[in-house]
Amino acid sequence: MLSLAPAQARDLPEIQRDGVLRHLGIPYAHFVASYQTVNGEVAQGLDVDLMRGFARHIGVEYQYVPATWHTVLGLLTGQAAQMIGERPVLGGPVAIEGDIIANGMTILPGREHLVAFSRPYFPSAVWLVARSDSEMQPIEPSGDTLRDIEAVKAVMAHRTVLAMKSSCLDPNLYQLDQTKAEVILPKQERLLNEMVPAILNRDAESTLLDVPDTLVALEKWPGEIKVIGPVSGMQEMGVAFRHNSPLLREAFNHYLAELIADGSFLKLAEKHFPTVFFFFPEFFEAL
Amino acid sequence: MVISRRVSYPFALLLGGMLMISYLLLLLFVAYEGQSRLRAHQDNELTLRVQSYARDLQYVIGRSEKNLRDVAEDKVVYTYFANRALGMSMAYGLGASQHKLSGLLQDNQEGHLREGVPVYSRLAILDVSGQVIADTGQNEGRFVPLPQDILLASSPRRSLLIQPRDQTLLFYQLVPVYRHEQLQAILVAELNPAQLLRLIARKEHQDQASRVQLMTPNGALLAWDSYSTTVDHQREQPIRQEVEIDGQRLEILGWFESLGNRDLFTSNWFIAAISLLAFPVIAGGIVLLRINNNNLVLETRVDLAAQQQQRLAQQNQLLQREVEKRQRSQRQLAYQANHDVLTGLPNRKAGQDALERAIRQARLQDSQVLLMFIDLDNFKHINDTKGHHYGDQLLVQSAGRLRTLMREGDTLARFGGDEFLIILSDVADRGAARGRAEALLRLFDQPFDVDGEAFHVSTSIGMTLYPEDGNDANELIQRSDAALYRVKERGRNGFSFYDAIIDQMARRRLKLDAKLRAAIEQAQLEIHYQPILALEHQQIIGAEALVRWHDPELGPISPAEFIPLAESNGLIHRLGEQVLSTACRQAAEWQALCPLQLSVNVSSVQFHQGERLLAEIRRVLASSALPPQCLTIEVTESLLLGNHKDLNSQLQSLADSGISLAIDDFGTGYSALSYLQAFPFDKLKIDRSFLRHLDRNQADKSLVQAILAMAQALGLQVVAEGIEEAWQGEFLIQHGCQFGQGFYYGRPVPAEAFEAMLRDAPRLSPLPVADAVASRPH
Repeated sequence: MLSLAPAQARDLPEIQRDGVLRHLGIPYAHFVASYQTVNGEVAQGLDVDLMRGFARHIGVEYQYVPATWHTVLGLLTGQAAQMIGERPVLGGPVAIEGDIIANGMTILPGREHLVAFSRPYFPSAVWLVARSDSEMQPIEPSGDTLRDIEAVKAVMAHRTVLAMKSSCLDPNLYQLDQTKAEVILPKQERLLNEMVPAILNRDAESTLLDVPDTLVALEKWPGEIKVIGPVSGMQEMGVAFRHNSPLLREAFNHYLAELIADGSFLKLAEKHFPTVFFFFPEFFEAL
Repeated sequence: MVISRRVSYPFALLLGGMLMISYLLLLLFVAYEGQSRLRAHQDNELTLRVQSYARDLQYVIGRSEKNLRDVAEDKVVYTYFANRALGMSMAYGLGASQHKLSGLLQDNQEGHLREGVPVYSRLAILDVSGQVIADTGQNEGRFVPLPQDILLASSPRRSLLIQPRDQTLLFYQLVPVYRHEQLQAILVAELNPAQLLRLIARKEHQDQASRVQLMTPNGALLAWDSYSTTVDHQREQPIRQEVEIDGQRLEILGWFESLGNRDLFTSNWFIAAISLLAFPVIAGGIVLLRINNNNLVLETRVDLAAQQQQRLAQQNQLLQREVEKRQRSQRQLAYQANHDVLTGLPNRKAGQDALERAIRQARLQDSQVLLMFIDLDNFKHINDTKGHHYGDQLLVQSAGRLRTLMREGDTLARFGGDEFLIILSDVADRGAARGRAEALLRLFDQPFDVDGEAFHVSTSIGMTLYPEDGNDANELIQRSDAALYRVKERGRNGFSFYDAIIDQMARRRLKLDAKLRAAIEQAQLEIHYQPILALEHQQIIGAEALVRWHDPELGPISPAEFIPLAESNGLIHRLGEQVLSTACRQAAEWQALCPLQLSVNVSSVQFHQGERLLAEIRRVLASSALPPQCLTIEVTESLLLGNHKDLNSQLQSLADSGISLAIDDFGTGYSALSYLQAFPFDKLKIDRSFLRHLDRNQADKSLVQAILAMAQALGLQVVAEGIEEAWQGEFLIQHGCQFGQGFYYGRPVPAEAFEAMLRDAPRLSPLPVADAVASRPH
């Protein structure tokens, strides 16, 4: 695999010279889904479509580079890093393997120290999802998200809640330590789309889950899980770049603006998440 | 004849009348019989038509019910009710399920078609209290068209519900939705009225008056009515067809206009028309009989005439073909006489004719004619080295390129060899001519491709304008050629107009040509000799024979001028012969004074003679008694570049007979070291231009050193030309150069002066020359 030392900035001209855009992705909801074929790892999803289009736009080949939540920031910037809650923790140098992270990454203040985000392109939020046989009952919406969050946190008391560090489901992001919830962190590294199977497997009674994943799960396991209510307000997702690749980031923002202006971005979003407009109409209206 | 005419005429009339009446009666009978069968057939067909309406209606409603049951069991419906049962709120999760549910209904309404027409005009799911959950129509909270009591009362067994509304009937289908065997909701579909009307009036059309009506327990639905008034149909008996759908008895009634009233085929008008038709037919028959009799004789004559005419026509045709054939061959001959076979262009004669025509035309119109004389540079070289096939291809491709530049009225001709003529009649001035010439040169920027090999070939163009530069075709062609000659002299790939200087040059060339011929004839050319020295001992070991020409009228004429002239007009062979024989005779005499190596220049043109040149050299050596070892033949690098076949064997043959070979002016042309190995040379002469700036030009200094080192490595002797100062000689000695010549040691002088020089010089020991001869690598 091609690897570069961290000191070598690889911005748009270098990428165009080498002729390949390397897309770092982690399988997640309908943003990135990857599977093995005889020809190697093949990826699909909203972000894969978006990155393929962007690669074509800047006139280079597209390459998918699989990553995990623990390694992805290092593979982009050349310095290992993880998020502990909202705080980035840096590690040693590692080889750079990608030019761009796109897998529905939530824009969090801590992450912005490590990477530069594109303009927001997708909305999200984190909800509490429980097994259908759980005694936890969905809250009655009050019309006010903050009050709904309080109500959900009250329901969590003395219940097991599955969460995952270093991701947007990090319990520290939502001050779960201030509730009486019993937070369970997976023993081994999981993908975000393995959270629901984990609670169906009785690893915990409920789990934190972001909205895109919840929408997928509700269709996949009808009648087996239920949404209790929100744990966060609306969040925004962005595509992440190295701080020293400003030209690449600018080119992407320009490309995204074109897609939004001619309506093809909304078509792309609807293709992968047909119901998302129902929950975040204000985000898409403001795009 | 007379008897038969009296009998046949009335008989023919009677027979014709009888036949006509039988024909009319038969026609009427067939028409009546046909009509009766048609009527029976139509009744049958109409009954089948109404039956098919009933069947289609039953089938479509049955299929629709099955489709609705599939929708009620769809996973999307299941997911919604499962999530609702779990207590999820619209804001957090259930909204997505509901969104999908609406999508499912919408897809069904738009996607469930019959003959391209939607089966449903509205689909909705209502919960058991009648509250709308999803609806493709106006969402009014309740499903207005169906009253709550009717909706809830409809048993799950009976799905079809017919409701009168706004003077028409609406058809609904209701299907229950269960989850865990509990009734959750009702799926309601409103059947598309347009689809229903289409089903039960599918085969009706405006040309035929008809009316179709569907009778239901809740009223009648009029599907089709093309009678002109509302009461017309009441005269007819309707065709009835009952149909049972979902336990309800429905009936289709159809009224159709009867056959007799709409078919003109057997109407009274038709019979009258047919009867009247009989009269003109009989009258026509009579007239025909009479004409027939009168024409019998005439016909025979006409037949005879026609046969004769046919024979004539055949002969005519043969004649015409012969004429055409001769015309064709004449045209072909004319074409061949005027065109070049290789390129298909007009040939030299046609080109000249075209020029003369253009001149006549210009004279009348007081306009100008531009003549361009075009010659391909280096064509001869390519033809010689690569063969005629390449040359021919090159000419064909060049003609093709030139043709692209031609406009209407222009003429392009192949003048001969690699020369082309272009005649342009519409050139305004010299500026425009210059533009055309530049465009023409650009045509040759791209290389030619002959059998996959690329050749760069440029052109040179000489131009004249009528009337400025000449009065007739020959003059213009000659002067264009003179202008072309100047372009060639200036380095080719360009163009030039004819002007006064060219005129002068051309005149001088003509004059020189004549004078040179005479001078050679009368042996007026002189040979001068320049000494060649062994540098270290400062002793004369040889002489280079150089030809000089002093004309009483023109004064001294440079060899740089008359040698190329001699090469181009073929005089070089006789000139070369004179120089060689005079110089050899002279050198043979001088051998008595001291051993002397004679150098004679031989032009590459002379080598084209092949065996004749070799025989000539042998003859001169034999007659002068000069030992071959004392003769050095000097050739320039351009000879080697020509690389014509046999050259190597010619040179080898000279070397074998003991004659030395030297490369003259080494380093100025296309010096390739491979020549030195490929050909049997034993000397090279460093060109004078390298010595001129030896003191201050480091590059020249390095080059001379390199040539000397290389010559030493290859075992070649080196003669430096153009030594004019003492320090040049010292430098050359220091770096191992054995021989030299130049003004510093002695200018070229006539034979007597050179002989005096030899007598005055200190006596030479014979060693260096013997050394030189012995050291030749063979």
